Amino acid sequence: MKHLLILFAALLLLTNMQAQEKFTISGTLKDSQNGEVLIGAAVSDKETKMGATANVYGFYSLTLPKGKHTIIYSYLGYSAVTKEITLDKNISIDVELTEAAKELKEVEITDQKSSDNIKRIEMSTTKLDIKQISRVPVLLGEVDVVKVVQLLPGVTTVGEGATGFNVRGGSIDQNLILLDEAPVYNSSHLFGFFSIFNPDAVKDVKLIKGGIPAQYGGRLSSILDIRMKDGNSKKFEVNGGLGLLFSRLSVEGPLIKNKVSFILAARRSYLDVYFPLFNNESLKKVKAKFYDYTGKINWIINDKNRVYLSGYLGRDDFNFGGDGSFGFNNGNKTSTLRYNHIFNSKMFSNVSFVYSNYDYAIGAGDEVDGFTWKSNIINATMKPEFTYYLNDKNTITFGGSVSAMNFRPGTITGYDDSKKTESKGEDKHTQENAVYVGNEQTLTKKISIQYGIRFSNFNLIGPITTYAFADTNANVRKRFTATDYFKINKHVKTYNNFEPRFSAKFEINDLSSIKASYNRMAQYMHLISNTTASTPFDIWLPSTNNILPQLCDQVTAGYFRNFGKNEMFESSLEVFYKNYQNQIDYIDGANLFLNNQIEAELRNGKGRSYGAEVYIKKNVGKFTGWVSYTLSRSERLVSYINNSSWYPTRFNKTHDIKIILSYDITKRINVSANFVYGSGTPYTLQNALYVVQGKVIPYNASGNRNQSNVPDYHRLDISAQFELAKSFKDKYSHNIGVSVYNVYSHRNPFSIYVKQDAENPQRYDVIQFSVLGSLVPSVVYNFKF
Amino acid sequence: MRKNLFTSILAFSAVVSALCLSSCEKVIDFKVADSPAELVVDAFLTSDTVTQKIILTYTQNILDSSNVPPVLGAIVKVKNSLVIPGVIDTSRTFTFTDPDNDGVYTYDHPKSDLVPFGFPLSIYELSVVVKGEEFVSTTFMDETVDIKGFLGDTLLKEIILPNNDTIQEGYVLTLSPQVKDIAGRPNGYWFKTFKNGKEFNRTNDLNLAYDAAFGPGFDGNPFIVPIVSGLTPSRERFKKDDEVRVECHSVGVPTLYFLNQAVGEINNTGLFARPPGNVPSNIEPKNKDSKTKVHGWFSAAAISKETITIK
Repeated sequence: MKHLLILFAALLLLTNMQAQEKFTISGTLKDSQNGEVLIGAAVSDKETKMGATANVYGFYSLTLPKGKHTIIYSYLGYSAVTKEITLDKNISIDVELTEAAKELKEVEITDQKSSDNIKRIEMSTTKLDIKQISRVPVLLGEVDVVKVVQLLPGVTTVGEGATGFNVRGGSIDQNLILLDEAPVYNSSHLFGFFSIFNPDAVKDVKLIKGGIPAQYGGRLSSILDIRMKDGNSKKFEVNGGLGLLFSRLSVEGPLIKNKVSFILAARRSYLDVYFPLFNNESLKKVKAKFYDYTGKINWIINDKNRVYLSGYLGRDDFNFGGDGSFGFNNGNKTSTLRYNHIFNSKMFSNVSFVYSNYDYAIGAGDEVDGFTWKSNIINATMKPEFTYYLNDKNTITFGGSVSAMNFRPGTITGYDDSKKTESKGEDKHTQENAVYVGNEQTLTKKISIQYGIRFSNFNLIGPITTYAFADTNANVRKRFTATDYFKINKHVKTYNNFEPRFSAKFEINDLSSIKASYNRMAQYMHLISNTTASTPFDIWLPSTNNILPQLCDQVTAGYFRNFGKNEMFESSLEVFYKNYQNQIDYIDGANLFLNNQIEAELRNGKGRSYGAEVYIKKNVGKFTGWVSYTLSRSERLVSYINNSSWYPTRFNKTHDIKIILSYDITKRINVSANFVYGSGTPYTLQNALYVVQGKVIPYNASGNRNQSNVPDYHRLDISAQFELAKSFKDKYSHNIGVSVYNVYSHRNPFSIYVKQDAENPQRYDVIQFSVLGSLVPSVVYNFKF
Repeated sequence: MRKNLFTSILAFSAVVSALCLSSCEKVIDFKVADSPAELVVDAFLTSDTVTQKIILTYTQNILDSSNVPPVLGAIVKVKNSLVIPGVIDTSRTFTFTDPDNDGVYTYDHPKSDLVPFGFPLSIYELSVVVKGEEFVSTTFMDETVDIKGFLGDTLLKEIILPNNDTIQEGYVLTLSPQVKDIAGRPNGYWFKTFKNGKEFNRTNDLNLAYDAAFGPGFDGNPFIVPIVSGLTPSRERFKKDDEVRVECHSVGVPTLYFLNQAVGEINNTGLFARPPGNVPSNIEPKNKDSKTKVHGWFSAAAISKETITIK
């Protein structure tokens, strides 16, 4: 650590030695129509070619030598603004950019080459704005952030109906999903078919798969940073949509013009309307709905201070009806209070206070004979962050976070003949703290580096009962040896980790660059699930005396190149290698439900994943979209599984091709199509059977795991959007979207397994299981006024 | 409750499957490679006075639905040791034979023998010699709870199930709450039900109790409702004059885990399937260096039983 600090100081000195009088221009970049800040908008100086980008709050700071400058403000899809300035003191310039009309785009790009991907140091990062997302055809036409993220290179899923997603061979619990900085533990409605984010309230989505900067931590594989709209600060606006499954409505507008604005967005499914229409009596009784509310209010106190308050509430509520009815409900509640303070033109700060509560309950029966099981995870975090634009060569970020979590594994209330019994799993209290510092440094015109370190500290705190187990090395439950009780606030176990981060960029020329990065990540919470598709009632556990923190080291290297007329295509080739420690696996027949000695069922292993990703993207023009190809492998090594040798994970996909295209036929008509093709995911099949006590038991004689693959996955989706004529003096605009998911009705296999015949227990069949067996058409009507 | 939870999860996956826009499961034509036939021992001894059976078979290809092949010509012995220091120290060996040459090795305990075959709280050792190699196992016969005189029946009205099936009016079994789990240690019970002499032995008829419930925490209590209602197999209703017998086998906790995991593997299908696992065995080659694989289970249980005629 000491050496790192010395290195850090030396590097700073290196670039700080030339003395030349310099001043700083800073300010905020916004959309002129609705006042939304433009995340990642570019600011550049024509003379010196130096530039900066707006941060997530739209703030930029650019330090330049004294004198005359031509500053160009640009953002993809917006008309650029040029300002001539004479710099003789620090100045503040807020700029509003106007969205370019569609037909102008091809011309406009001369001003704003999409060379960001060449010049910026970040790699393995994809930014999507909601307009891009809304054009991609998805299941039932519902604009869906997570489904579009799944179409990016390096991101895979086991199949339809699988919650979450896997990034570069990492498991689904290794993605940090942040909604306005609040962690989201379950990002899907209806077991993974839809994501919980209301597109009307989302502004910007960024997925970071590698070269993760020091301010992020807590998960191994990716950061999905979702930023909500601030709400139109200029005029009131209503957006809505009527679909086959959901209706959406959002209202936004200024409470005090240009000072206080808000957005409120709601969605509700009408699944519960459909179920009674089913021909099947058992489906008729199903009561199911899901809904979510998203809201945000922000107040620009003055030039230097701004406050945001955002919240999300989403729920899935299912009751399968009938006697002994079974139901479950689960949902996320998050709220974030943020305070931006600009100390001066060089120092920006934000403090976030985050509260999130994810809860789930399942129940069956009634208060005579039945049970309910309630469980939740509560998190409260305080996170100060500072950016110090030291000079034209160094941007230092530093900050930290203090986070308290409470894992409530559940209270089970049982009713046997109306007698109520309550058994409560023990709460687990943890505290996770981190401090970090990082610097993005321009060494020469062509070379820049980013380095930083994050120190994370995790504590498991009493009151808690801990268990000790004998280390068994076979594939059996660990033998319980001792128990210990820790009183309130007593520290049970502490883990500390230094997480170094490093990235470098070398610009070969204006059109191409190479980049490389290394990062170490530590993760102190774990999703306990051994099913292929995770269920809404899988439990999260913190690290304990028995469960070690997960660690991952990743190295990546990439070549980035833009080509074509006006650099209309951006492309990249990236390779990565990841090494994982302390990966959880399970003994055969693990009992993961309502088990207070669950740690005895877990095994500890290691993992590795590696691969290459090719990505070609066209952002501008009538014809937009991307093509990606990923070649990768994701493996685990756990003693006694797969005869103690490396085996591919359940979500391993060797080849993965995604083609996402969109074309504006006219100003009013847009057509889009996706095609995805991927290698089948692995499965394990028993090849023998034996009989004990009349039970015909399947048996895997080879002891291998995941050595066969289901047939390849492929699917084509298409959609078209028709902009209807505006009415009410052009104030009401509306469109109709039609889409077909899985156009050629391909039954994509999810898994293959053996199944006992219901009539003849001696007989087993090999079953290919698909979640979706046909095409799914849909229509959505969207409006805005 | 736990069973309820388990069935709930099954119900949950069933509904998810029903939500699929067309049938999710398709039987595929698939060739599964053969693996060498391996020894399977099915040795569930009881304290009952009936013929004791140990069935020896081989594994076979999963897609072969014919009867599993028997193991012939084996030497099967069971040794019972009852040792209470200073009080009793007996040890007897019983030899099982295969008179019908069908892999079912039997032993009939002479009625004249004053010491019964089944001796609760004693140790049983198994020895099976197949093709010159010996396989061994040891188990403990626990006490059971007495259900004699505590079994009853009650009339239930017709129930219409969500899928429009009906369960006709009929009788289900009751068990007096006076029947309680043996306090002080973990117990595993297997309740079996027979109608007119025929056992309900479908996979999902398995009715197991860990103490009075499905897991730790119910030591010494009366059996919980799902176990009592499980005495009547799912969707079964008894009619007047049916002769119904219930047996309570004190199989012990390890056997309970074995049976639970076996059924878990049999039912492991669908969207929420786990990676298939092999059910462990408590039988092993006597020679520790031997690589020969053996499957199955050795258990010894005391039995209490009660027969009623529905009136």
